[in-house]
Amino acid sequence: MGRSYNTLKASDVTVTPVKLKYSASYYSSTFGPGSINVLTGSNGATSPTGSYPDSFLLYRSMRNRFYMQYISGSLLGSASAYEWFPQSTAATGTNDDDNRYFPTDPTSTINVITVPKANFGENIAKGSFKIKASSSIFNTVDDGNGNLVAESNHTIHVGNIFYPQGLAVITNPDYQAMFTVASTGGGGFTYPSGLIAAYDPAINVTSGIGGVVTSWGNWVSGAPVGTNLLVSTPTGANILPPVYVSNLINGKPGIKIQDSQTPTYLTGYVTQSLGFYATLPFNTYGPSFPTAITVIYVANIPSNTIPAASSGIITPFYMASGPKYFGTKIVSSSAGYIQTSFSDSSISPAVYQELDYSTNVLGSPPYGVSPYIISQTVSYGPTPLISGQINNTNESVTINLGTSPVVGSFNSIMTFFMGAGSLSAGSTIGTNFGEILIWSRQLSLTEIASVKNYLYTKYSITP
Amino acid sequence: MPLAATTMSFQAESTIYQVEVRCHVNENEFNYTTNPSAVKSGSLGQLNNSVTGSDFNPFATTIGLYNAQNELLVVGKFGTPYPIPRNTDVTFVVKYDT
Repeated sequence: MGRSYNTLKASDVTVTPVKLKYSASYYSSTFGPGSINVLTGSNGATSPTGSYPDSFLLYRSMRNRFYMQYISGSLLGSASAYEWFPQSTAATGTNDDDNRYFPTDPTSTINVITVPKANFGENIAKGSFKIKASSSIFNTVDDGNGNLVAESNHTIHVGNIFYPQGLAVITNPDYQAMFTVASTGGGGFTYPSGLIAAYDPAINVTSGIGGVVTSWGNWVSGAPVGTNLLVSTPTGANILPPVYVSNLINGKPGIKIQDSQTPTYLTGYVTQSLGFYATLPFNTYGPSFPTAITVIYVANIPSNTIPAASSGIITPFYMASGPKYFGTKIVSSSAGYIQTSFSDSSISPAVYQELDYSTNVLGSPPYGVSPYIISQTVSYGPTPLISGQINNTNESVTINLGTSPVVGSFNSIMTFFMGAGSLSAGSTIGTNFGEILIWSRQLSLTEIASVKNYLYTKYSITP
Repeated sequence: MPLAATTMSFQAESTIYQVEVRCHVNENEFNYTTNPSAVKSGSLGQLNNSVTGSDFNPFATTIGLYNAQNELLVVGKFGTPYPIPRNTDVTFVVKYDT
């Protein structure tokens, strides 16, 4: 093989810059020093005893670098003297401008997301940044103008993103909860205050939360897997089973509520097969009754729960044997409506569902079932009422409205039932519960998120 | 701090530079072989008769780009050897990214 040569001229060479974009996703388990990291900055004393905490230095550095121009009383002589790294050239008020807000209360905190240069190149592409949080209500996107906004509502300002620096700052305190997770296991997680009843098989919390005596119907804690549990109704009638101990929430302890016509002792038509129940210690009439209740549970319903031919009503979560107590009081609260969410039990494999039974706390359900929202105000007394029963018939959610008046006999307790329902012959229900938590108040979004995150981690559930 | 299950996604942006080098071969250039195997055995560089006829075209198989110090910087290989036309100009375009 031979070689021949020629000489190139400068005009023979053309250099063309090409802008490349490449997408990548990163899961929080990979976050940490040297990688994408989430740090917390907090305001504090400007003259502390000892050295400044790192969180304070981070808070101050973010404030001074990106937000100083927007803070009232700053020492800047003029705006032009300050490089504030604008991410948009749009004029203020055009809806395309770069909005900056920085919390300055003494206890303010921020989250700072740092992305290494190796991960974002020259800059993060505008409009491409997205955070998919464990709870969809915290899903956040960037609007292409340097603003982080709620994915579901772009008018909610979450923070700012600085594309060339690879920095995102979460300034909205509600959205900082997206990163919060409790320690796992046992009693390591501190529940928000107001918890009045909890079933947690791992730590055997069955009563006495917060000094309030709560009873769980005939629960046997620590029983081995497969143990049948006798379950009593409020009237004292035992049903056998339908409850036994299971490990069906990703191998974590739980209970399974199994109603079936297979056992010979269940013949004919099964009605009101009660899983287990909690009797809550507050009066439905009187000042001790809470204005709102929050219930969060972890459960899954196997895909074959309800045969297609069944006409039965399956109620994985059922409140009150009578139709009046719960609905009456919950809708007489100032918040005024209940929002529920159930998953489609026909989905295979079984899906996990949560129920936040309080006011306006759930985002869109993750499995395509629209929540049934009641937004009427019902006054206390003999007026239209909500029955309190939630029926999950395969893939729909119904909240029954009733017209029965409240009568004086329902004045002592509130009872929650898990796994109640009416079944036709041949029907089966197999709902697995891992944890059930009930608060006597409406939890904040942050509190709900912390509980959810705790449960997601504890039960190895990918939201 | 321990983090909740969160997924972060974005597009990274980077600029690369695409260099295009046009290697022009005039009709009268590169039309004889320099392959040592084409030299008559025992001769002083005299080519075999088979490669000196008017029907003979040397085939290009590789283009190399050298700097002023004669150091090879870029090598481009043809998918198939390309015959250098005897009566036509031809331009080879070498592209590479930096």
